[in-house]
Amino acid sequence: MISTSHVWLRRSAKPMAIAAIPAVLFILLFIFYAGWTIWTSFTDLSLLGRKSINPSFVGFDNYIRLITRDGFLQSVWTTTVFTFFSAIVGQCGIGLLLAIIMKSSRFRLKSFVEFAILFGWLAPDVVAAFMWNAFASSDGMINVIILQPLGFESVNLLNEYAIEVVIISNIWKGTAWSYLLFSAALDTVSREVIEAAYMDGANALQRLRHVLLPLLRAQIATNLLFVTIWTYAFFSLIYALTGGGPGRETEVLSIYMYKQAFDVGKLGYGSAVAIAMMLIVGGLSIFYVRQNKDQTR
Amino acid sequence: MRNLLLSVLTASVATGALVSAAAADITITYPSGWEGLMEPAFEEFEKKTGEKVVATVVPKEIDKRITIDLAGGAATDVIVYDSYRTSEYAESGYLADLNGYTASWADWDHYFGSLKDISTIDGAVRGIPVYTDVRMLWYNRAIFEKAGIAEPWEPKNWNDIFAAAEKIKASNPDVEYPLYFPVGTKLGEATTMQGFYMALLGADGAEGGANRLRDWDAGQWIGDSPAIRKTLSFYQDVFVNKELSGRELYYTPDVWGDMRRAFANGNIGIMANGSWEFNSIWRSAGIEKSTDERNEFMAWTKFPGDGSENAPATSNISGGWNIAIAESSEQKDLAWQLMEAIFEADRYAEWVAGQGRPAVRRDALEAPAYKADAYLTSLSPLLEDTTGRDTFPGYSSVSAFVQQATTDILDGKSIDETVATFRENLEDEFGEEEVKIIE
Repeated sequence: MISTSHVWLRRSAKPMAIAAIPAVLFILLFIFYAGWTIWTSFTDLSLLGRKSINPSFVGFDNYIRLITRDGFLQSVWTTTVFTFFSAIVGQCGIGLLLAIIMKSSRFRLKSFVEFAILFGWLAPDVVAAFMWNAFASSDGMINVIILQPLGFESVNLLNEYAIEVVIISNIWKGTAWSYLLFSAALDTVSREVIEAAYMDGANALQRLRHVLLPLLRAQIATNLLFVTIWTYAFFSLIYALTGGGPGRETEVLSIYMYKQAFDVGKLGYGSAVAIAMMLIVGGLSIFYVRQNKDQTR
Repeated sequence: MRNLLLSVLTASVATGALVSAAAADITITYPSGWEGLMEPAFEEFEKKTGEKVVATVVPKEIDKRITIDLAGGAATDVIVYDSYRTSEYAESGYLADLNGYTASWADWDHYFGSLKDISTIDGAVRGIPVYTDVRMLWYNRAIFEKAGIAEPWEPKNWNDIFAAAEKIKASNPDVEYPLYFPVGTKLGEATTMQGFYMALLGADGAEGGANRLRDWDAGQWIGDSPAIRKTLSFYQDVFVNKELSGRELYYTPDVWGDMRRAFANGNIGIMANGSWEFNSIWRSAGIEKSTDERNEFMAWTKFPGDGSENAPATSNISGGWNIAIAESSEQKDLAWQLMEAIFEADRYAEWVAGQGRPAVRRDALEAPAYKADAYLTSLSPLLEDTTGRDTFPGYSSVSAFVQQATTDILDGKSIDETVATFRENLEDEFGEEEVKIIE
């Protein structure tokens, strides 16, 4: 029974308890799967064969292999580069910049820009992958419209600059979220504060650095937290666009984990990769939250 | 509280009833492109039994889909699967024993013994073969003419392949893939079979498993051998030393479709691939071409050995697809009736010939449509001289390690480093005692 002094809540206790059942079930389900993944990471459970029926407990073997075998550390590095440039610098940075510029832009230009970036957000990942493949191929739009007219030779961008193409495509895909969040945050900034800074003689850069950014700190931190978590575990666009290749150039952690679990069939090792990913993202999240707290004190 | 309990019970009963109703339908998962075989069979089955067939048609990566469905306990009653999985699926207890059905099925006598063997594990039939295939080097005849390479092209060793690809590269710089050779993980099993294994088989003699991934007599996987090293050096020559192939085509969003369109559009000179491509290329490219026009455009030759003393003159490896009943099915008798309808002799023979796929039944080989197909009959020499994969439990992991090894070469790693990682992966997976090293 829910204990509360609020009359309405007390009278609604029964329907609320029923309504809470799905939430409780989902929470239990999440706990179950997280627990199952942790347990699996200490076994040699396989997708097929003997070990799929009778897995053995292998202690920390899978975790030791993360460090001693090729693949995992390289993927951590690839994922970090991908996340830093596409989420932190790209989506968050460009989203903030666009939001500030569009704040005082004319309606038509603003509508056009918003449509363009929202289109990227709304396009399904697989569709986006096919589009970027077409853009970046040797006879694709980037070569035909930009590089060739400027006198450059045609370049197969996915052959030569795969990680760069993947980063840019993810910036295109995800900037809308940051833009919308920062646009909404900018609406809450009092016009008087900006005008006061202007009257005090602050130039545009100073107004941005000393007035706007401190006022938006909480939203920036929250956004960084979100985009980092999403991007660190991002899978579909990269998998469809390059499958982690050429070679291992774009093999981020989520793709590495998928290949180990479902191509090689090592569910135990794949689970260890998943847990390691969770710890990395968890560590980054704690870092962001602490930074935000320290600076708001 | 009483009302609440009643509601929950009613909901449970309703859900149970729905599940039971759903269980009465026969379910099947098959790859897209097989509608010609499946849909008439479904119609016939539904008319005969009054049961409904619910089909899941998978457009891509059906092998992975089926494996995960089976492992997750979500497989349909009837499944179509890559035949090399038979031993692993059987070991995992995923496939029903079909002995009780095949014993009284007259058509079973028409199947070739070797294919029955692949599908029979410890005396129990686990799957019914649909078709088989062979592998070869396809080439674009116009590109060969431009490069001044005489036809019929019959390379005697790997150097002949490289020499032809280099001529193509020199005479036609627009061809980005003078030699398309499956590499990396995105092509999955195709890398192992169309690429790695074709070279491996021709890199040494067969004694002691010297040109294979498994020594069947010793019961060990092979972690290092001169043939494995030669095969990896073949990859190194193609992708690093001689740069006879671009890399993008092996990693695009649609690796199969893009490869076929590239061949149809003249962007590939030579291509290591399978017998199905005579039809599949044009279907994928959306181009209508008669048999004569196809013969005008493309030709095939056997994949040569590396030319060393013990190596065979040519290599070839065959796979194929099976249809089976999942062990989890609660309607195995009905599922078998559906399979009988799928394998109805006349319909099956016509479909397999139309697909350009080598049949696995003697009666289908005698069918007029099959006999009239000059391309299918031209494959006979390859069908008589072929081998299969090492379909021992664990093969799919070994195959994934092979694909990773080819990736390592593409990334610029040395042969020593690549082999060391391959061996380490095998030892991690199977234990040192189950891994053999051939000096």
